[in-house]
Amino acid sequence: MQTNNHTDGLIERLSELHGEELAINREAIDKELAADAEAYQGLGIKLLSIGGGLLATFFFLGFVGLVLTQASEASIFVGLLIMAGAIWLNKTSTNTILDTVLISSYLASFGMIAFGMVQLHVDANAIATVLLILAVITCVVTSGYMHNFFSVLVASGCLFAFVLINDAYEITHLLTLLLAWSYAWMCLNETDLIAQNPQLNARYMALRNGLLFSFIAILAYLGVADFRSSSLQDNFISGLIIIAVTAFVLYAIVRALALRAKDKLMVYVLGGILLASTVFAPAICGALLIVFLSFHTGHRTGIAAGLVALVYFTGQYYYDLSYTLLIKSEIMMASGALFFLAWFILKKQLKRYEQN
Amino acid sequence: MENQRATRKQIHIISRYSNWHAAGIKRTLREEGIYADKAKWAKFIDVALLGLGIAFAVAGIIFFFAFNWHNLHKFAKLGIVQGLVITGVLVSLFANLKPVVKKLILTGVSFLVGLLFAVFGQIYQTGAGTYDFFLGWSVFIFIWAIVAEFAPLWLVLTLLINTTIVLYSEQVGPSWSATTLCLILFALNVAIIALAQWFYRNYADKVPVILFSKIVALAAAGCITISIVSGISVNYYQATPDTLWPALLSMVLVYGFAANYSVRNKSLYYLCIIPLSIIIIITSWIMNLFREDSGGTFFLIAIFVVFSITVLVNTLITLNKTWHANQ
Repeated sequence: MQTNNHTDGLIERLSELHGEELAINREAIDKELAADAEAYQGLGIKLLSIGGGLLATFFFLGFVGLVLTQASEASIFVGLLIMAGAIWLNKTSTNTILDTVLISSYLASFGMIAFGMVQLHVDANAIATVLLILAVITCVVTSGYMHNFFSVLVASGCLFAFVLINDAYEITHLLTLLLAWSYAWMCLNETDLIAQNPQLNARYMALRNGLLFSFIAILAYLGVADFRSSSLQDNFISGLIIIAVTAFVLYAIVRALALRAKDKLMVYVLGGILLASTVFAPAICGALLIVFLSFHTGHRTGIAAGLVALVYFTGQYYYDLSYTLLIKSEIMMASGALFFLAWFILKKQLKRYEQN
Repeated sequence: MENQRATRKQIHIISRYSNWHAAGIKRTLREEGIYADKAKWAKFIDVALLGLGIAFAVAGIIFFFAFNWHNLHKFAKLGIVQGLVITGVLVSLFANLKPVVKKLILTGVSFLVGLLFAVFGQIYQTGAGTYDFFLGWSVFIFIWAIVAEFAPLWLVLTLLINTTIVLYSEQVGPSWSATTLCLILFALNVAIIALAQWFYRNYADKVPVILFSKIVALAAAGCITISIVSGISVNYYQATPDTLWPALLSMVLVYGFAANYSVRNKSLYYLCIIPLSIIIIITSWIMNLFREDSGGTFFLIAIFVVFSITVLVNTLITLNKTWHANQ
């Protein structure tokens, strides 16, 4: 198989480079790569499996829902049972349809547990805490991609729920700091994290993508006027936080690329101007952070998500601006002119780097 | 072959089962081009600055026109859009650009034709409904779609014709049931696929026609599925539509033909869509059969879906393996 050929090539190069000290468990690697190749059977079949799994789960849960409408304790119990079952079965399954059924059941079990607790009039904070703990336990217990990914989303959702339940809107900024910083840290320290131990290695991409989408979710909350609560004042605090994190990321990138002093200055000055102009639009700034991090680490999903977010949030920002169309048009043309100017000034220097 | 780039996934898996240290992994990620180097960044900044400059400038110009739109004289409004259409067509005919670019420009101009009609309707308040709008639009880009031999443009035309028929049924013509309307759309889309395949049977590059056929086939399968499902799901006050049996018959004929084609050409795509459509139809039939007992029905359907899709996927995988056994 083709995969084995480049793995062979890569391992050969590594062995030459590191010599004796590199101990590789070749068997396990081949087994895992083969399993990975088996899983991808063509887009049509994959979509069919996922579609079928979702359809089946929908009907199965409809059945469960109809049977359990009155019994709230039963709902919690069945929910926990399904969650445990879904996680345990996932460890032994290689079938895409079964995987889809297990993932959707896992997600639905969160719903069932929450529903049961709501029926029992449990305090909202307690419900969020329980779900948060379940999500963390899932991450610890299983290394499946989807389980970890959704657990991160659920955990961020619970943290955000604390803000909404307790009307503590200033804490949103704290959440922004947490998500921005953890996402940046995860991206920049990829190699240290995956080298640390196999368990962390297996969960890395799932956790990172989970943090990415949680961060985008909070940017959407900050950036889209319809979602944002009117009690959230001082948007610029989040903007400042994200700018600070982005500035640090730029510093890390500059250091990694080992630029000359003159180029470093150029990056900091231009970056500074760009970021400063977005201080009142934290969503745009956050999208820039995602694009910089993803491009630096070559993470295609992140680049795509970041670019889409950037375009959307910029458009949304201009849409929400309460100026006349004429003034907006003038702002845009001025921005366009500035970008052209920057491109013109940097053109020659950039060409020289591209040639290298 | 040995020097093909390693992927991030392979590097992660290798590091999972070895004692490769962090600095070494970082170095490999850089060397394999997964981490961006100075050249990539330079190109990125180059493209980004230029792109942003163009995007903001164009957006600014559009906003400027939007602001002044109602102040413009009607000849100016029509003149601007017509000017854009004419310029676009001239460029796509005579400019010295790659053929793909010219066809893309023509596709863009097709959208401008729609804009032109919309502006016309807005200025003169002709009272035309959306049906007339889409009909006019379809007619006027029909010739371009035939001549350009550009699949995206065919797709636009197909979408427009479908919309025109739906609006005809709603606004002007007889009030067809969902079953009949979707059956007509199914027939239309299948005819379009057949026409496209026949028209371009002698061309060497079949890829655009095949991709176009696949997309339209998906829409056609959707139409016939909706048609039959709504025909089955009548409630007690409506009679089964007359067109249900013709719909079933045409479905069987077309699906049979497509399945045969798939097997002959070793293409899995249609064999994925057709069974999925049939499974959905059977599911809705079961739901309607056991309308009273919803709990048990749901459970039955869940089991049926898992079973049928497992069988289907296993059959397809086996089929795929026998077709591509030497890869």
